[in-house]
Amino acid sequence: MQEPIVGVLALQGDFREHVLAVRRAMNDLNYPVTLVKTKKDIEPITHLIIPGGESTVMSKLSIVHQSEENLRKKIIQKHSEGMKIFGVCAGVVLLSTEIERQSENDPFEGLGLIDISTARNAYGRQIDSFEVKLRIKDFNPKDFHGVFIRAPQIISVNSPDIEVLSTHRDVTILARNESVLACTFHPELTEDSRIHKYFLSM
Amino acid sequence: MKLKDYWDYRHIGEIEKDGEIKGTVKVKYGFADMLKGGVVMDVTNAEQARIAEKAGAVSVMVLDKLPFDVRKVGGIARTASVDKIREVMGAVSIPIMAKCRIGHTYEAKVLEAIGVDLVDESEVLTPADEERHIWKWPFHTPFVCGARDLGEALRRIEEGAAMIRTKGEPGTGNVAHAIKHMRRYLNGIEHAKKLYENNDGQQLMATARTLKVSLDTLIETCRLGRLPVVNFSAGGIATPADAAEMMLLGADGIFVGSGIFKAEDPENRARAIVLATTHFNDPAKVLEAQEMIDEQKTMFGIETDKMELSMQERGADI
Repeated sequence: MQEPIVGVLALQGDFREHVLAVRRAMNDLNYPVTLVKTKKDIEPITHLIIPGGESTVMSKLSIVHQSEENLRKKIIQKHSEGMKIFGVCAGVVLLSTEIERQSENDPFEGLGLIDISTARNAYGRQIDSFEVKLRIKDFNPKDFHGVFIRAPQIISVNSPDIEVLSTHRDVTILARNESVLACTFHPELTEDSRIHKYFLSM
Repeated sequence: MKLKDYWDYRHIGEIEKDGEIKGTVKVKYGFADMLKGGVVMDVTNAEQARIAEKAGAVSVMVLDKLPFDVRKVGGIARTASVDKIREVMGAVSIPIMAKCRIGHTYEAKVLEAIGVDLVDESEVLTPADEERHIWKWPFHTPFVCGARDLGEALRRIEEGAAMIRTKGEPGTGNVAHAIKHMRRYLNGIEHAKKLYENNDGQQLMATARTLKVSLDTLIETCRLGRLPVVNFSAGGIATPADAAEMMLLGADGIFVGSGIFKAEDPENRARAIVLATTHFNDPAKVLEAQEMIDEQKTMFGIETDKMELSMQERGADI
């Protein structure tokens, strides 16, 4: 297998934690990871992580202030050429086809790269953020420590091509299709790199 | 409550229900992590909050008056009206912050009960307790506190702050104090780190005493080579270049108080500051951001050596 060329979308959010998580997953403290801010940065990437943060902010920064060929279009193009994408929390919202509970003041469109409907901040405000032990399909039976921070929910999976890998309270929290992995909680805030490993082998 | 539980104070804010644990240190610190690289904007009403959200603010801070006006009006500055906070919460989908007075535990409890996402125990408001800050660990809501140097920052972290920001000098449009405070953190950490690496335990302990913090917290800071929580910059940031300068000095993100809505071009300026914060290491992008604003429309600054009220000194020695 070829070594993945990893990029983390670094417009806003906890992108540095993902760089460290990738290095843990690759067992290499110096594994090169590109911070992607412009369309030029994304060119060589085979595996892109869209981190947690504010989806409205990342959406805007990937469209506005960029030239005609903006970063958003470039992500869609690279995906069609085979780039794998891992969306975490806000990243899941950005990747989805349909978004509910948008701000009326500032709605935005998803990238539509995984056919799911998401609802933003669906568990409530920060005070409702929580930690919980999870089970993930096909992973070794050790619990995964789930950290949910103003998390979105995947309220429906709209395609038979999507495999649900984990649920909590009957809501899908980890799902994938051929090229996109969507995770509503934050594996990068734990020491457990199994989900990052899983993504890097996609 | 058993004494043993009380002394496990980092976990005292946790509530467990059906296997889900809320109010943990991880979710409080993690919330601050998600704000990184972003700009938090001070607003006084829903309309300003909408402008901030549209411009790409990562969060808005609700105040009764902007820091510039707090200075001008004088008197006692307190937390914002409940109605106003609710109005802003209903207007935008990004997280909401609100300020309470230093040491005013009950103002913070009210803000938590309203459901704000983060509480700023702020020197912009008139301190309510001259001897103590709020004991922040029992709260489920994360806190941010201002600090002028490493000791102050670590003391606030030991009280439970999930996020630190430079105090700067609020409401002045003068970035010099924010720069000074950021440098003090960096120098303080560098100094302590050297002692740690040289295994000079005696001097490290003496440093902890000078900073009025525990040795454990100082050692953790040395190991990390940075503050143990997210570190933003605030106090006097008025232009995109100011924001980029603070990011270049190592800030994780930016608070803009009076700088946006005391300027005459708030929409453009808000967008420009977001752009410069994200692309701080790309001068061409910061230039693009500077082009979006007009210096003639920047807030009228205050010369900090001639002002009557130094907000940064509030709560600094405790």
